[in-house]
Amino acid sequence: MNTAKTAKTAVSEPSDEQLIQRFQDGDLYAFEMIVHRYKNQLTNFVFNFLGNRIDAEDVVQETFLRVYKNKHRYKQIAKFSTWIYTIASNLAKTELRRRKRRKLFSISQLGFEDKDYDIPDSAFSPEKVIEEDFKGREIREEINKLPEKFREVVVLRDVQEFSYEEISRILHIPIGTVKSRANRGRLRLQKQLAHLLAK
Amino acid sequence: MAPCKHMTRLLCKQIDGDITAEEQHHLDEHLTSCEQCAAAAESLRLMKKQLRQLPVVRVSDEFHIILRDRIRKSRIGYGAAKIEFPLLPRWTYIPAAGVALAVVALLLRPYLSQTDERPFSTRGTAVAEYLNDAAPEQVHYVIEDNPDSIMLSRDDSGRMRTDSTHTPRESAIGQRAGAVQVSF
Ligand SMILES: [Zn+2]
Repeated sequence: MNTAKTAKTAVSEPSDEQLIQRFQDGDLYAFEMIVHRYKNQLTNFVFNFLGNRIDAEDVVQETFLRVYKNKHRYKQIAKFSTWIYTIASNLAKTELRRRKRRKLFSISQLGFEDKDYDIPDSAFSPEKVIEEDFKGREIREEINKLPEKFREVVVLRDVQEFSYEEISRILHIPIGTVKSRANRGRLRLQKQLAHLLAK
Repeated sequence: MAPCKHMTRLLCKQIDGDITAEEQHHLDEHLTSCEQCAAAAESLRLMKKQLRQLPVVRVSDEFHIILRDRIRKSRIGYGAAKIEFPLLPRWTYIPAAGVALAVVALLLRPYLSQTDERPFSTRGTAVAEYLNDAAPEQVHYVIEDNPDSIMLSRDDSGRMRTDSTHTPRESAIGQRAGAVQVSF
């Protein structure tokens, strides 16, 4: 990574923790800066997890709304990024539950009960991702086919590049579990992407 | 292309970059003799690179507008008296404060100025109560064709109350006996 840029950022811009502190003290501009800093990276995370752009933005908005309403729940002992990603990932999972319930309902309404219930997690809508190239789209589709618990870890680790420690705190699961899920998820994904990865 | 089961942990440690020298040596030895694992190592490395370079999506242009609206709506639920617009750019704060002051001044004007002939402009029930308590000759009405205005009418006992059966637009003043349109 560009270390010079990182160093400059550290000097000239307030840290996330300073921003949330200022927001807790009533500075609304600090909240704006938090939104500015996190809107795209959170949208990417949720998009990779849910596979649907519109739903991803909706979840991210709800995340910011929770931060806005519950700003005093944040305590300086944790990293701010951990806190906001925990909120976003919980909301994204709630969205998945909601979709599954809705799909199960509509399937049973149609009377297809004896079919197997291998229901994909998402309504992937590639046409929404205008700027994305073909390969990127295909990779996202394959990520989306991973089981939920592998998917969230692979996205946080290999797309968002969080450390295992931070993923463990975001998802509230032991670090050993994070690692084994990352490994299993990667091997699966690698198998699914074999045609793209082969030279 | 499935790698040997006992090698998967080391393969992943390698792409995480936290493999020890001893483990690396062990892995390298295996890779020279195992085609499956060598292929897996290469494709895991490529995949990691692809994932890191996945095109970044950006939020839509309406993102801020919708968020601002959701925050505002959530505040109404809390009964907050003060309305804030935290996502407006900073430069709008001073003009916005000016506008807010002007609005407050307008609302307070009837109270501040003894000579103002108009009663006051406020919503529904409060207006009806005011009209009921005021002597008829003191009551002046502001009449406009304004969708935000409210209809008042007299009930059987002659008292003013809000009239939800008529929208201001469809009821012109005087069309219905005793009906008064109040703008605010
Ligand atoms: Zn092998």
